[in-house]
Amino acid sequence: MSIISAKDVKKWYGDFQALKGVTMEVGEGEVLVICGPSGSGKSTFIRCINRLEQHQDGEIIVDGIQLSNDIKNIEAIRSEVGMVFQSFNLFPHLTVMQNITLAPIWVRKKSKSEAEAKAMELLNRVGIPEQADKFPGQLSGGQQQRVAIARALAMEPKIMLFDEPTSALDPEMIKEVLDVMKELAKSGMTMIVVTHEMGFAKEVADRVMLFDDGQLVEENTPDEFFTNPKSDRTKLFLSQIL
Amino acid sequence: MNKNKFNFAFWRDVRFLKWAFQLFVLFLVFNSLRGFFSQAVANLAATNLPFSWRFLGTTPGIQVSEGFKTYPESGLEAIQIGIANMLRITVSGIFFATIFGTIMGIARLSKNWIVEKSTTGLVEIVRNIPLLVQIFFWQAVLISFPRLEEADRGQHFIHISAKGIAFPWLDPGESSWLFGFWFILSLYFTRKVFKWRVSVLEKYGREAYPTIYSLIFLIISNILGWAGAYKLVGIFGYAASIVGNLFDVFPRIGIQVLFISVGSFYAVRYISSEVKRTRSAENRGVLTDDDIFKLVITVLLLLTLIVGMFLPLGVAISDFLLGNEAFFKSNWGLPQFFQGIQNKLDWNYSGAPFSVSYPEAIQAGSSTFTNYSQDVGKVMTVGYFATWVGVVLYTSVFISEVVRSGIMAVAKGQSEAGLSLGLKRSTLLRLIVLPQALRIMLPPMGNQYLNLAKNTSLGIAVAFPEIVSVGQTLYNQEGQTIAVFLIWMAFYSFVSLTLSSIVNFYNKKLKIVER
Amino acid sequence: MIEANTKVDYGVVKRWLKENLFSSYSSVVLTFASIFALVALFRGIISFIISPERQWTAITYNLQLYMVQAYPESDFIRVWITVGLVIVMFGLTWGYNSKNIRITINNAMDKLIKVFVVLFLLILITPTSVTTDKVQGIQEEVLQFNTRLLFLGYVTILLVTVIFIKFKFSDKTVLRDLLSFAYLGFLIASIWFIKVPTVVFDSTNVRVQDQYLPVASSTTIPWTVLYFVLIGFYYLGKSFNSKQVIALKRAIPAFWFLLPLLVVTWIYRKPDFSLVSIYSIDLPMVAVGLVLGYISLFIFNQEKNKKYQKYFFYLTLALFLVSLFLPILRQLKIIFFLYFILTSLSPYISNTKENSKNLLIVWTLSISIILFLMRGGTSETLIEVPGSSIYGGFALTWIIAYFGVLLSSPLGVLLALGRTSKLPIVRIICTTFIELVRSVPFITWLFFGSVMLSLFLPRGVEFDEVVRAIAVTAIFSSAYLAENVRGGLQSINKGQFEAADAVGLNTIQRISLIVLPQALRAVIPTLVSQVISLFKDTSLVAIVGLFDLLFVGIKVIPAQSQGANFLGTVLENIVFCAILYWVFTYSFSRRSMKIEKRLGLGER
Ligand SMILES: Nc1ncnc2c1ncn2[C@@H]1O[C@H](COP(=O)(O)OP(=O)(O)O)[C@@H](O)[C@H]1O
Ligand SMILES: [Mg+2]
Repeated sequence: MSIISAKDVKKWYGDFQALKGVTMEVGEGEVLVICGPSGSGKSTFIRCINRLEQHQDGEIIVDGIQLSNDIKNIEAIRSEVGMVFQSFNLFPHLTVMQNITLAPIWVRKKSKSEAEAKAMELLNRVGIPEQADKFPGQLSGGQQQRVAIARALAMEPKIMLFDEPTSALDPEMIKEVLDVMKELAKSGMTMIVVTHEMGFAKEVADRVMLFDDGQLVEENTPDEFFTNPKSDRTKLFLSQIL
Repeated sequence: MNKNKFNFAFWRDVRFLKWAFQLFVLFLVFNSLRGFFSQAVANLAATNLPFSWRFLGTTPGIQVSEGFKTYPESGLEAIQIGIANMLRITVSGIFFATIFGTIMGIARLSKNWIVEKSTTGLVEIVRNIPLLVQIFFWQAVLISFPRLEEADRGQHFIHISAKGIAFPWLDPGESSWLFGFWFILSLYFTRKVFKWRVSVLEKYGREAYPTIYSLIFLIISNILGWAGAYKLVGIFGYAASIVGNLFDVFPRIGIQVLFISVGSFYAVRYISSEVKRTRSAENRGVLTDDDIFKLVITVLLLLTLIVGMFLPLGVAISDFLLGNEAFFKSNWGLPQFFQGIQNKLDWNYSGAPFSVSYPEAIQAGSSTFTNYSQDVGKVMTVGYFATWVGVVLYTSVFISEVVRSGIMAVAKGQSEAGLSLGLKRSTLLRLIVLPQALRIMLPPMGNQYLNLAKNTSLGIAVAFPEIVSVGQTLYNQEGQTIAVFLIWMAFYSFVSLTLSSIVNFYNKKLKIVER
Repeated sequence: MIEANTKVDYGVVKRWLKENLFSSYSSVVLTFASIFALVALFRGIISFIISPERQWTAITYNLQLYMVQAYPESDFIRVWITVGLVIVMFGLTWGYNSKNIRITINNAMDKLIKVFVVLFLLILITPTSVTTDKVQGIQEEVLQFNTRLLFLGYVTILLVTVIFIKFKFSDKTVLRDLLSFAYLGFLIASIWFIKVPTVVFDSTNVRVQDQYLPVASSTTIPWTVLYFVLIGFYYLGKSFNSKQVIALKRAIPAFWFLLPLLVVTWIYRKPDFSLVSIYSIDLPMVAVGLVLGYISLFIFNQEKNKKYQKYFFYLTLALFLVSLFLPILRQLKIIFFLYFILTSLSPYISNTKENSKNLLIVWTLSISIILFLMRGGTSETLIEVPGSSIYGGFALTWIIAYFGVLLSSPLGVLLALGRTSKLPIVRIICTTFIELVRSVPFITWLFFGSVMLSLFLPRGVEFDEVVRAIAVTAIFSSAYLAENVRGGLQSINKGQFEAADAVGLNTIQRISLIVLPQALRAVIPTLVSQVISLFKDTSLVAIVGLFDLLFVGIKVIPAQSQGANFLGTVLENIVFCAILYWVFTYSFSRRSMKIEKRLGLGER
């Protein structure tokens, strides 16, 4: 059974059509990498999955929940799906610990001590337990992104979305974030990752997709995608990026 | 989109919740407003002073201590006197506050320790004392001067007494309007000369002395103007008379239709282009305050045009609605407007545009008191003086802060960059620092001007008859508090709207320069 | 080491002078021109002060009027209690937050030396005589040669002492707070010794020549006591800090918040309450609150009852809504309202038993305090003063400012949120409100409050003029506040909103946990200057005839023709008002600048 299924998803910004009918499925525990040129609608698409953006036509079903204007569904979706942003978007006025425990306490209604124990565990998992009481501004980019991953994981989501998690980072910090993501992938988390890190895609992705101009151009296994792509558009893209 | 595709109750739809909440708020606000108003109507009906605008047309029987008239013939005229007084103090206040504020702002950046410290001290003193206290202080200072006595009768150059400050003033001759218009034109052309020299400088890269050229042009053109060249401006009066005569020649309705359709055409075109611009991809249909201002101004202009064209009709309607005849007694309208221009700019006028007259202390009427003559010189009354000094000083302190932070924000990196390009200090200031500092300074500066305009209302405390004070006198006399309050509100809203449109306009211009 | 430290380095002085005063020809000219102007200004001010025309006794004689207007002398103990409580809180806060900063005696004395040297110079250039008759140019000598010498002698002694201390203890350090106490103590001691111009009446109650008399003991004794109270509570606060009494960190702001409420409802008002009504109404009501709180916090917060929590919440909502229309005590309605808030929040803020217990205590305490304040505020007052309000003078200025800020803050934040909201109707309503309020000057709103407000209210509903002034002040200031807060809201990154959405916060949580904390912190400087300008703006109530500080100064005292007769003493009074306003606004803005700096550092 697929945990995410999108059928002919379309989205307009004013007159501009950002998504021109995207159809795809993601199975439970699958790791999906999406790549494509800038402005091709990758972010728009994965933001539709947790309803940061509303699609205007087609349907998206996440874990059996139909995405609609139903307020109940929106609330449910947000706690099923965790998201990690390109620019971290940590809350600068809260400590790392508060950043992570905020949602469990207020949304999942956990007790503070319970939430903090869980947060500590997550910080251990992403490798920065000693930074718990610092403010985001005092951390390096790589550390911040790892906190952001921990923050998303604290809600115990079934699905994790990553929107170019490493493209705002200095090269030496990319690895530490990718390592955390690889570990996460191996633990069986369902992940959709927008990234241009082809090494990551080769290593852990179950499938790779290419977006172009609001459309899904190619969908393939990593091996096939890199060595023997189906479409010319992919070849062009790969030649530009590699 | 088909709503029925999903099966959930409509009240769980976010869109429904949003609109329900908004309608609920609207209902609350509307209901309480309605409650207040019906209460007010009921309360007023219970008194024997129901709400009306009638007092605008009747003679209020009040005296206004200064202004273009002392005994207004109608409430409207009283309000006009208040507005004129308020504008008088605001315009000159803005002028002087800008000058003092700029000087103080620069002095606070001075390298000279004692200058910097004493200016900062002054700023800290003035800024932390309520303006009202300062206004009372200046009033008390002037009042503590000796009374105007018989010993002082006669002509003076400058004379200070408990009655005010008297000083020489320019008396306009019959050609003053001609010269005034000439002066404005000369300013315009001075700017052209300046730009021309700058372009020469940029093109050939040699020093072209733009400031000196334009100053010389300004001085010479005005000397010529004073000597009689102002008569050339009479051409505008003549043109105005021709346009005015058109109204007699052609059927009135034709001209009205012509003007209105041309005006409407441009307004509609402008609005639609605005709307199109704001709908574009990067703006996504969001109207900024700026855009709203522009649209409002356009619509207002259009309305003014239409009402101006059909003024007789407007008068009839308002007379009918308000039930009084004296409301618009004078004959306004576009023909009269052109006639006015023709009257002011007639090339048959001659003589010196202005002459100097000196103040004189005379016996006041039949009493034994001494007073300054109304006809010669100029007297700054105690109320005007206190309000003016208070407001100017207070505002200039805040302006100095604006200037200081504006220059500081630019000075550091930019001027170093300029110096490394090998620019001269003055060139650097003119070409690099000032334009950018101005960009930063303009919006807060506009705010300060607005504050100044509003602060002139404190003149009421020292009996300076600006619009709030006159309004208060009026409602004490007539009891129409709500009407007067509405007038205040309309007037001040108009002033702030105008000022912020001007600021926005210049802001736009400077932004373009920057690009 | 010590020698090197204390020796004056003339090279440094020379360089400083060269760089800061005489760097160029124009700078030299400017320096001398400024010195000349400053000296002239100083001499002008002094001759203004010591001119025989001045009647400074108008201020010393009317000090009570200035502070509390017509508050009856027999109840002055209430005023002193108020001041005392403020000082207690001040001492506690100061001590609790004290950072134990030490400064060297050397530096402290250097500052004093500067002050005394300047004082010495100023005494030297003080004018000897003042013009008493401007028309005929008659001069009168006011400062004898001997007096000047005497003053110079005093200053020299002080200077020598200070220099002695500097050299003797140059390597020692001292707590900065102690130094402040020493200066303050010097000030307090001086009021026992100085003589102030005082109005004197003879036996037939006719005013005779003013005399210089010591300050009355009714002033000196309380202030001295308060000085020691301050020190005592400073050390108490300090010990709380060292004993890690964390509760005080929350409690101190709460106390500051409650203090003015307590003052205006109980201390200042002297309410005529009956113990019976407290026993028969207020205490039972606290008991009801206690029971309700127990139900919510201990029964429905239990794990096994959690599923009923929702229904219980609806029940309390219904209870509150129904109670609005029932003919029951106002107090009960308020309790129901607060209870509704408690039940809606309790699932989030109390998870453990311990937590619930604390919350129950806080809940009971707050109900008791609210009922207590209401009892005081709604009972008849026993204070009788001429005019409609017992609040007047400087006290009134503070009351208007305090309640203005208190009421306008939530309103302003709400308006700002409304103006930046995505909901068009809400946005339009808020924008219109803000722009309309801001477009007209404050004084017209005060007129609105004083003459027009009653027209919009049902007949018979009359508010005290002070209440109306406060309401208008709050509304006016909320519009400005809203604009400032809006600036903060707009400065927040769009990513913050998205992140809040993505972790599943709802709208209210997003605003209160993520958006507002950041927005408000970003605009603290503008908010502070907004508060300062509100404090200054309170002076405008004098125009609509409220007896605030300024009104006493410019209208009441210059019209006193009975008794001491200060008819027409305007300048002195205005100068006094100006100084009083200045001292408070200036120290407030200095203080806030320091806090700003600290906040700015804390964030990084
Ligand atoms: N909020 C928005 N308003 C208007 N256009 C947008 C908005 N967000 C994205 N777009 C447009 O949609 C297109 C797809 O954007 P995006 O999904 O961010 O691309 P990608 O993430 O693949 O680089 C781009 O052309 C972008 O300009
Ligand atoms: Mg993107």
